[in-house]
Amino acid sequence: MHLPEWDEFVSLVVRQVRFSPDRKDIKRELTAHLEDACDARMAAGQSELDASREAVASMGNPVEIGRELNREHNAVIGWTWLISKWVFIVLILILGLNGSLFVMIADLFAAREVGYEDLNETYSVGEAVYTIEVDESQRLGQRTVTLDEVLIYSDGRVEVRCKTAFPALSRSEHVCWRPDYVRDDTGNVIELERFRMDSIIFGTYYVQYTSPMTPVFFTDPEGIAISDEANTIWVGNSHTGQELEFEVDIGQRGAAA
Amino acid sequence: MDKNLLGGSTVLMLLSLLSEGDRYGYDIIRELAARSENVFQMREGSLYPVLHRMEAQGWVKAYEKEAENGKKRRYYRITSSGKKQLTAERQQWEEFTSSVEKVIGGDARAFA
Repeated sequence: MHLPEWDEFVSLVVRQVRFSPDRKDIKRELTAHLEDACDARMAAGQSELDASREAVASMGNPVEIGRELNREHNAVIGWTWLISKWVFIVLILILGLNGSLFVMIADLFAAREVGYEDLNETYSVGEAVYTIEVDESQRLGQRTVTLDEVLIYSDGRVEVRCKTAFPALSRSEHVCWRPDYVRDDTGNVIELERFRMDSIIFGTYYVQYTSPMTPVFFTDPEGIAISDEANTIWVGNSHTGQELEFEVDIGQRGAAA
Repeated sequence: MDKNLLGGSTVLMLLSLLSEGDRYGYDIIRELAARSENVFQMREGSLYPVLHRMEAQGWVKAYEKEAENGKKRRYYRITSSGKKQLTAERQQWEEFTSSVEKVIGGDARAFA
């Protein structure tokens, strides 16, 4: 049962959030919480009215909550962002800047970074036996290559997740670096059999333009390909001869959840 | 801000929960209470500033999905940066608790 007290509570909360564009989402999230809280209490045997009242009573002080939320939804950053986005769009329309520059600037504001997990929804890879979280970057000319993680699956497949970043407004072509082998310091060398790149993702940072995520698959039918005791992993491209070295800390290993 | 909630371990517990799977707000509250056998029963609204701060820090990412009750909910997913933060906080927690143990343990340490 949706009570007027719920609306009062939620309104009091969002009133403290000075960046008004975020208020709608916050309202929705809090109202959804109240619904769930009410349902849970009714399932435990309470009457609909009591459940509804207690749901809102258990939330806490709306003004305090709103103030804390306001700290996270920074109005200065929010408005600056929104305003500059529109200024850029207007400028581009007026000045008729060329296509790729437009895309790059548009990406700057499409700051929604999609992760590898989202790619998994496109092509399911199943559960990894273990994961080596590397999260290190190396320079490769103008580009910065980041090796995020290496995952090993029970069928012996190795997945290398890396991405390439370019300095913003760089003249060079935005080509992702594509490794075709990976090796570790215990003697395993795995060659790429299949490469896959998804271009549905764009993530941008203020000073760098980041390429689409590039999950790279290869198969070693003999068994586990990259040792979970490796201290160093190299990822390289045999055609160009470029190889990057990444140190692996003990703390970065993990059996998959 | 956190002092109203579960002490300094709020973020650690939330990251840990989310590392096991994506959850939405009320789901998190319920799980916290269930696992802690109702010791951790926070004022439920205070969860959201923490979650939004974790999102701003890049430790979690939010998305809309249909929940088990058929309604659309805002799910939170831990990011790889969040997993690193989790490792760091877990380590800090372990150091903290073992230091406390050392202080209060006294001679009992001989049998540890």
